[in-house]
Order: sequence, then C-alpha cells, then structure tokens
Amino acid sequence: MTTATATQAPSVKLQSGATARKGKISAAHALWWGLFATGGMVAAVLLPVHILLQGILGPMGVLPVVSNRYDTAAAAVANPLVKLYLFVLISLPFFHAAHRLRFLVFELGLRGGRMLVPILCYGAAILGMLAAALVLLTVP
Amino acid sequence: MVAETEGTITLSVTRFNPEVDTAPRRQEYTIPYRADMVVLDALNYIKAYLDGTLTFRWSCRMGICGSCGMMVNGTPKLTCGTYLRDYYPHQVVVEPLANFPIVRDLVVDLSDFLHKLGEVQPWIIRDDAPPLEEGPYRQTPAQLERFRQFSMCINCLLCYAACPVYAMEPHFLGPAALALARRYSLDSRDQGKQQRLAVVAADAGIWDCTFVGECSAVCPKGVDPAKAIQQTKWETTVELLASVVLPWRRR
Amino acid sequence: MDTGSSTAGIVVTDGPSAAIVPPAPVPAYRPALPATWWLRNRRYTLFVLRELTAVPITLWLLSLLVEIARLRGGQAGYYAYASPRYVIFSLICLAFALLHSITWLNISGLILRVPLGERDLDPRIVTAANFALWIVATIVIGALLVLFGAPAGA
Repeated sequence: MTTATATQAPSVKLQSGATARKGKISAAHALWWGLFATGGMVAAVLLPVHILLQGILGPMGVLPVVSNRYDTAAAAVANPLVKLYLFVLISLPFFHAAHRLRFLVFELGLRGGRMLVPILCYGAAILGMLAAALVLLTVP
Repeated sequence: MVAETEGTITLSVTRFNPEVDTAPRRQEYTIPYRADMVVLDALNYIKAYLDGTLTFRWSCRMGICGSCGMMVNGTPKLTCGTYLRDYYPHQVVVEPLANFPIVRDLVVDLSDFLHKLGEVQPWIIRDDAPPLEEGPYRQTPAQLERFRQFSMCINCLLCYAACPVYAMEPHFLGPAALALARRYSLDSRDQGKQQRLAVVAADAGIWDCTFVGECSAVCPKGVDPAKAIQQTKWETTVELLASVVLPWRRR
Repeated sequence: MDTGSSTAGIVVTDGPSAAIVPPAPVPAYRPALPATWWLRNRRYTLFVLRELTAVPITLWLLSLLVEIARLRGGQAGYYAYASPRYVIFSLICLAFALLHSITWLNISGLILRVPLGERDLDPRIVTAANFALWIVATIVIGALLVLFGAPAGA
C-alpha cells in the first residue's frame, strides 16, 4: 500500500543511446503533442477548401478566387484579421508535420539521431513559422 | 477422436531450442483436419501424436486466460479462438508472439511486460484509508462504465506483438500497461492519477505512441488501448495547459 | 515490495521472499523488426500514408506562402499560380489533405472525451460535430474566398 511519489526522477538508458526520464510528466512532449494536435485540426478543417479554390479552381479560371488578382489579394491580406488567419493556417500545420515526421523516420527504420531529428524537425517548423510571420508583416 | 476427419492441413511451426539452435527454424506438420478445430487443437494434436517436444503455452482454451497468444500467418491471435477453417486448405504458419525474446519454440519471455505493468501501479491508490466501519466503496453503474472497457484486458499481449513502436523501442510502456493505467485512473475509487501520470506521461510513456492503432485492431477483448493512450495524451496536455494558464486552479 | 529501477524484473529486497533467488537468465533469441513491416497489412500501410500526408500539406502551404510573398512586388511583381503543373500539384496535395481530414476527424470523437456529469457524450456525436464543423468551415471560407475575388465596385 505504498503511496511513494517519485521525488527523484530515475533515468533509463534507451536502446538508441538516448536517456529517458521516468517519474516526471514530460511537459516538452505535451507541448509538441499539443501543437501537433492543434495543427492537425487546423489542417483538417481549413486546408482542403484553400487547396480546392486557390490551388485548382482559381488557377483554372473556373471561379474568381481572391488570390487570382493583385488588387483583391492585396486588399484581403492588408486586413490584420486576414493576416492572423493566414498565420494560423500556415504555421500550425508546420508543427503538425514536424511532429509526424519526427516519429515517422524512426518507424521507417532510422536508427540513431534521437537528439538530432527532433531538433531538425521542430527547428524547421519554427523557421517556417517565423518566415510566415515575416512575410505577413512585411506585405502592405 | 470421434468425429471423422475431413482432410488434412499443414502447419509450419517455429522451432527453437536455445541449447542447440542459434536461430529459430520452421518445421512442418501435416495433421487430420476438422472444420471445428482451432489452431490450439492442432498444436495439441502435434504434441500428442507427432512431436512431443513442441513447446507452447495454453490454459483455459476459451479466450479468457490470455496464455495462448501466437502469430498465425503473421497476425497476433489467440490460438484457442482461431479456426483452421479460415485458412484451410492452405498452410498455416504459427510463430511465437512478435517483439518478445523467444525462449523456446512458441514460448516467449514476458518479463519485460510484467515489469512495466508494475511500473504503472495497476491497483487502487488511496491518499486515505476510510475506516472499516464505513463499509465497502460504492460505485454507480455510470462510474463503472467509465473504466469498464479498459478493465477487460487479459494480458494476452497481442497488442504488444502488433505495435511497431514497441518493436523498435523496447522501453515503450506499451498498449496494455497504458490502458490498465487509465483503467485505474478513471476508477472513482482511485486517488493515484497524478502518481501514475508521473510514469505514464514521462518519456517512453504515452508520448512514444503514434496511434498506429493496430493494438486495438488485434485485441480479442475490445479493450481499445489506442483510445486509452490518445485520451491520456489529450487530458494530460489540457491539464498541463490549464495549470499554466490558470495557476490558481486547485487540482 | 520495492519495484526498483532495474529492468530485469521485480526484485524483492526484504522480507521472507528475499530468500528466493530469481532463476538464471534464459538464453533467448531476439528477432528484429524488418524495415518493410508497414507493407505487411493494409492498416499498417494506411498508417504510413496517413503520416506522410504531412509532407504534401507542408509543401502546399509553403507554395501559398510564396504566392503571398509576391504581393510585396506590387502590381507588377504579383501573379497568381496558373500553370497546369500547379493544378496537378494541388490535386495531389488535395488528395492527401482529404486523407488527413477524414482520418483525423474520424478519430477526433475518440480522443475528445466530453464528460457530462457521470457519463460521457457519445463519441459518435463528437465525431459528427467535427465533420459538421469541417463542412461549415469549407462553405464559409469558400464563400469568402470567392466573394472577395470580385474586384471592388464590380
């Protein structure tokens, strides 16, 4: 009937050579997973219509999509709410993809790189987010 | 054997004697076939009449003890509930449960799982012990329903055989252990959720799962460990966020 | 009974059971998972495809960002994508995006547990609500993308 809480966090050496900490809720994992889940929802709910209109029907000339012409596109993006929406639409799925790819490369057979792969993946997502912010803030 | 046989069927079975072999090999056995036979019946026939050295685990032969889990044509199954007629007349390949060290023939070493099961503390944890005079804990049907599905686990470990994450990262706690952790954390009598989360939501816990979902697909008791794990991820993340955004909340 | 941090199994360190010596480790064979494990059945393959949807989604969003960035070039510098090659690229991305949406929203009801008193809201209702949200968002955003596509004053 032990109620011993984990006051110290014993470590476990994983087969890959990385060290895992047992005995503490991993806030880092929760953060990346939370971003992954939010990005996944954004991509699932919002993205298909953008691809359909701005990627297919607009370029084909079937429908007058806002991004087809400079005057309508610039007017739309000038709106700060639109900038915010586009920032969310573009950035969050980057974190979703980073998280998915981080785990997928191991499942497809990559051994080692347990420290490097997350840094590359989430680092790329952060760069993508910063690029999106930069573009949206510098477009008039 | 009273019933007449309806033909023959061939099983290709993994053999491994650690005192002699360096690696497993397969041995074929052709046995009389009846439509009501399960794979376990076939193995028992082999052991009784063809090759007494064949070694495998089984007990209840009715899908409740969880002993007879093996790979049948590459899929983890309880051999007591897997009918030969679903494969007849083709050869049936029987191999030991994947992702576990093979001890001998079809027997695998389960001690890794048993250790992990202990780690998640699968019992009611109380901060207080109510006095005996108060009588037993009381629970409504709705409170029971909250965790009942996750309590159906028979520790057969088909889910571990199905999980590619467990195959690649042996320190992953795995589907059954995580489902059982949730079973206790959802139990209204339990007060140990944070204590379990310290193990379950640490590294090599729930976060290693990528929701392949094969564990739930092969589970013979409908436990749905994949659901247990994803729900734990969601709730842990939300609670962590709440503790950061609303630090005055007392949990 | 102390579980300890050893992965060799539960080790009893005191009490009458301590006199029991665990058996010597058994020589065992550890098979490795082949790199083609995900081709073994349809569910595994669908899983890998589902995870790979992240790549076309990222590429398409980058292409959108590039198009937006062209606005900095003014009237002369800006042009929308119009080539058949881009349409084909978008078609492929749309296929993967739809795979993502359908698989994601299907499991959303499973994960988003909504406690209502002692019971939970039926997960099928949560899933249906998420699909409804998808449809509504598609209609609303689609309408906005087209409505604001007509030049001012037209």
